[in-house]
Amino acid sequence: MSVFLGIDTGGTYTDAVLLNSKRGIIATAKALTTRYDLAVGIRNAVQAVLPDPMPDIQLVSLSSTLATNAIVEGRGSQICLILVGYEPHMVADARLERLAAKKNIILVRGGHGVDGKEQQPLDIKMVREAVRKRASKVAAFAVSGFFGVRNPTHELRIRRMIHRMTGLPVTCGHELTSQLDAPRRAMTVALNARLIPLLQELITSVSRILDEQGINAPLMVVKGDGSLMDAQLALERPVETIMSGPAASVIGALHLCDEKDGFVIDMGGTTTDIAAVHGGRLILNHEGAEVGGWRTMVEAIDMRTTGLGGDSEIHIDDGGRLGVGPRRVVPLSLLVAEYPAALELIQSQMRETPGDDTGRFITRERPLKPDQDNISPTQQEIWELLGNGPVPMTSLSDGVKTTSYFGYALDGLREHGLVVSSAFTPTDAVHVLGKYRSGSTEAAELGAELWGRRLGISKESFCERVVREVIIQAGYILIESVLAEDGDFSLKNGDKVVNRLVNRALGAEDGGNLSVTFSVKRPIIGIGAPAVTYLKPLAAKLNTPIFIPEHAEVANAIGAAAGAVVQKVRILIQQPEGKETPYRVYAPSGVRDYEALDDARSYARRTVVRLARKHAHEAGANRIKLQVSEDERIVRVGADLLYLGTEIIATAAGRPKLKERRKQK
Amino acid sequence: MAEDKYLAALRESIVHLDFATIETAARQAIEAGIDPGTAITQGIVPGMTIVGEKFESGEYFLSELVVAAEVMKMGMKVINPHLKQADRHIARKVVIATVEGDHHDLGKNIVTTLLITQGFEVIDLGVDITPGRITDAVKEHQPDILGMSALLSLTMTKMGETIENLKEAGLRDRVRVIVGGTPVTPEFADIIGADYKALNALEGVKKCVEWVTPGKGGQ
Amino acid sequence: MPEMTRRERILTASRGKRADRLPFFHWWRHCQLGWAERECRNRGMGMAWARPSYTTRLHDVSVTEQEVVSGGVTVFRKTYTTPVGSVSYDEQREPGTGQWHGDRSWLDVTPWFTQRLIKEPADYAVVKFIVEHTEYRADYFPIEQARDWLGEDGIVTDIHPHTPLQTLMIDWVGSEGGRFFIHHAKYPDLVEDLCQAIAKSRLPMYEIAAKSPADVILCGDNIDGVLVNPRLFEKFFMPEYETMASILRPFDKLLGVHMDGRVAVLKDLIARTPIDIIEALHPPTMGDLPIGEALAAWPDKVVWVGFPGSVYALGTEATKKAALELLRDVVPGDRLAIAMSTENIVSNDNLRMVTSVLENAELPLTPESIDRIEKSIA
Repeated sequence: MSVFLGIDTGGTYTDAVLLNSKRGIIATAKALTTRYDLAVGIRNAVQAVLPDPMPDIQLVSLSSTLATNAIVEGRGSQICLILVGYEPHMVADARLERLAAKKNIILVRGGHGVDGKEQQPLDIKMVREAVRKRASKVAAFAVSGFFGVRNPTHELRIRRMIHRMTGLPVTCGHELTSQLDAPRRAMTVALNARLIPLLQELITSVSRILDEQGINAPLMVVKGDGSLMDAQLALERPVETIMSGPAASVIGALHLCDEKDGFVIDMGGTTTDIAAVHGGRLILNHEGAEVGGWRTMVEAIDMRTTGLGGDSEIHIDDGGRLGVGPRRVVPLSLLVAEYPAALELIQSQMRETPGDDTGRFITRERPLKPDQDNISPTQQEIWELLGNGPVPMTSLSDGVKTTSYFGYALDGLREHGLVVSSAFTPTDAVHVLGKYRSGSTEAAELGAELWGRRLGISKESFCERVVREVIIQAGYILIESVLAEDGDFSLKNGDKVVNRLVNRALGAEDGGNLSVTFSVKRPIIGIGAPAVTYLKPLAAKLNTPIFIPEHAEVANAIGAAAGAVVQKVRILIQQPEGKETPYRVYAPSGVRDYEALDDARSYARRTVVRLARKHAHEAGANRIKLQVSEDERIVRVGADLLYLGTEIIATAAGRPKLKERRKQK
Repeated sequence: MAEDKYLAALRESIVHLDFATIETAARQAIEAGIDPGTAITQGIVPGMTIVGEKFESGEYFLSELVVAAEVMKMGMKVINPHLKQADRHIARKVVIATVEGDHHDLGKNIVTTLLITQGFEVIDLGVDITPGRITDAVKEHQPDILGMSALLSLTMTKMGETIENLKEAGLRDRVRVIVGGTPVTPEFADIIGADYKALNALEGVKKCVEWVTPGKGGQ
Repeated sequence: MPEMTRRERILTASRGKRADRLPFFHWWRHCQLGWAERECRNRGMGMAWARPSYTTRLHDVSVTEQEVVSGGVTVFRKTYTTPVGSVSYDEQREPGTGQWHGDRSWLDVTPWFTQRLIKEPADYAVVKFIVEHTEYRADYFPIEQARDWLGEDGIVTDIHPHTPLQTLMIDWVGSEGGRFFIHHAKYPDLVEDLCQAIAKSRLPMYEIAAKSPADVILCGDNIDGVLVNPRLFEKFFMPEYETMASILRPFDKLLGVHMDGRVAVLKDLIARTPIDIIEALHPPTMGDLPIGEALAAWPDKVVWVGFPGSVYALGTEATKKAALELLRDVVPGDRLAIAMSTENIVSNDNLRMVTSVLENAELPLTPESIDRIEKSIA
């Protein structure tokens, strides 16, 4: 019998769960996530979940929406991105200037061709110069070479050089994916490098907390495909933890209820995630997970994520239409719970004529690091105006000299994670409606009144409209997912009529002469704190059963503890020069040619198996099981048999290595 | 009414494959103050459409198709300089090429001409075009569709190589890829990641039209 | 009745009479000499040898050839200089060109044009001068020698170039980018005038052929209905075949024309030509007209099938299947001969497989006799 500790952090709450491999859940606990320092929330949750006497814990796994949230919110460290053999337009194509300062994106001569042949020799001098200049100004390096997945030698040379010169973390494109698409690979490595210091901070904190509690079990981190990896490996590949929260929660949800088919909807504070489950298995998105508008090349759970949750920002457009999300803000009720003095600020706004900025507050999120955070004069002004507590938006915008830049400047500060906004949210609405209580109801009520005034309605009807809007938006996402499961079917391609019919089915539009009723054929499995509030009415509207499993509120943490280690390696063989020429194996160590396909195949098989086993071992697996599949592409073409290549995939899977158990007395 | 006369003259010159009258017809249309965009969309393009119909019905052969395209080019040469900048990019674009090592251009030329008859702007790169050059052309011209032709099983693999180059350059998602040529099979097209294998010139062109028609898979 | 010789078998079928067995043969130019070829010949395979009955000489035209680099590739440029101007063409040759035989490389590839002889209107007059100053002289030695060598083992055919319009479309103007069609539409007078000049210059060539020792005169016209559309065929090709036939008929020569492309669209017109042998006809998928259908459409013609290279590449099982299918399509098997290939070198295995199917193809073929053949191989 083993005992596992699962922790999930990054959302509104940090969850902890203690699982027994035989008897199931021993204890669960929740604590508010403390965004300025995740460690505080984690410590609170872990302390709360540990019983007395403390059992011998053999494994700790951590799932975290840290990476996902950071990407969605545009947070990350300063990095230097070295691109080998790239063309300048690719920088713009992949919007790389949003991920690294322009001066830190270095285009270097070099790169390979589709056949793995060197296109141009690597300009190593230029690399050396760039690394030397930027070593002290950035937190990590990211390297991607043109066709680096066919031949990574340039990437590897640069990595060796950076390691020798700086000791800073380096991410290479070929390590994160074996797929073609140089601009997207660059974007993925850049995201990865930006996340390294953030994840480093988290893992250090968690390790410290575990030490404090006397837990010395291996620490694992959940990947976006639901599998686990050792924390040390996660530090090198933080981008692989995107979607890890959602993946863990789906695994957790499956663990908790008997349903094997359906739609798992995880509604949290920041996002709503929908994943279809078939036969109890996660479906992966081979095209790469999309987060915050970035289509990465990370294979993760195929999930629709929308910025819709309890903490989504409410906005009202000029036509008086209500919108929810996608930005996450701190609910007013929570703001006041944390800064009781803020209540007065809200009260003082009751006397003003409400506008777009009323009822919104800005708070410093982390200290300014002058050497790393390059901020503009206007941003500097805003920063100065912010003290140690929340400041109303209205006084900020009045306080800066160049008001036209205010919004833009503030967005920049938010993107850098320096400040955080507070405003009215669905969480506040449910406080007002008495459906939920965790923060200051008084603050929520004041907010509802303030915002309701802008529409000329009472605070109660305003809150009801907010809840209704959340249900409708969640309904849209669910219907999108349901249709996507049916094939190439998307509401985005649909015309106005289709959209209006969907509106009617969801009750967003009055029926007229034709009322529309949908029934979703597979059940909904609802998890996350707001599931009961929003998903129960939604399921009723869509005539489908809903399961909200017990302990669903900690499904993420359960999923974290229940995961396995899985590592996949792919190697491609091609015959780039055509018939009767050598077979080329594109291995992660470089290309190798063979006269006979059999020899190429056996080299490739040996290599994938070796690498998959090695990766699984590094990822912390025990009793590794290997599975090798081979996809040989040969087509009969009129007169000929045409060899188009072979892809060999090795999957190494195992249970996480556990701490050795205390001797039975 | 007068406008109709000039447009009809353009149309007739093309349908009758008349090198002798096309330039005059085009010049007169411009001089009469007909909008150059209208001269193309209501004079030249309908002429090519009729030629395409005649080819489809078997009345016209490849020779007429090729010659009509040449007549059209002469007319366009007169009209193009008068086109307003804004009108130049109305047409959906196709980049087309016979792949590296392959010198067959018959099928490609038929497709090119048929595409023109459907109002496409076609950038014909010619024969024996390397994957790199095709990729560069897709980058430069940003077409809706890329068409590749190969008649030799030895050169077909260049289609796959080109698609890999497009992928690596981050361009694959911006263009539909249609492939054709006697040895090319749908299975092959699928494996190399093309969007479609044309059964023949006419059918391939129909697919292209479908792709750019809103509501029929068009964007 | 004594067994026919291979030569008798081919000629009997080619004259529309019933031979003892279905004739099959290999063209010398694609034939691999050696054990498999000898084995197949011992089992009934004939040989066919195409050799010309004439030589040509140019008057008042000087010809030079040089190697030049054009567009980054090395090409061979042949320049014809005449009193009215000069023209030239470029061709690219793969390594080993001319070393297998004729101008073929070891891989059986002939040179290909990168620049054509006629590029612009002014070139027509120069080429016309060359045509009008081309002299055809009889030289029967090559045919007599081959006849002597082959004896009853096969036949020798006289071989003629493309007919006038096809000479322009395939050789001198070229059809890349539809160039010939555009020339023909833009300069119809120049094109048709040159066609007539070529036709006129060829008359002595036909007369030489009529008196040659060859039984079959083969025009290597490479007809494909996509390029040679029915209108062109009717206007430019049919009259030329008429001219040839009218000169050859009195001497009891058979006229064969090489039609290896998609000819379904020309089917009815071909029926009206005086051609005796439709040579190199390929069954679908390389061609588009099944052999049985062709024989039915052309009741007074003989078909020499070209066994398709696309089938060979699928292996011996596919080859066997295709050969048996062909037999079933042509029952009872009259007016037919089968060439092992008209385009490719054939592998030993395939050569033996086709021989296994055809060596026992006694005429008339019946569904039962074909079943027996199939069983005998399985």
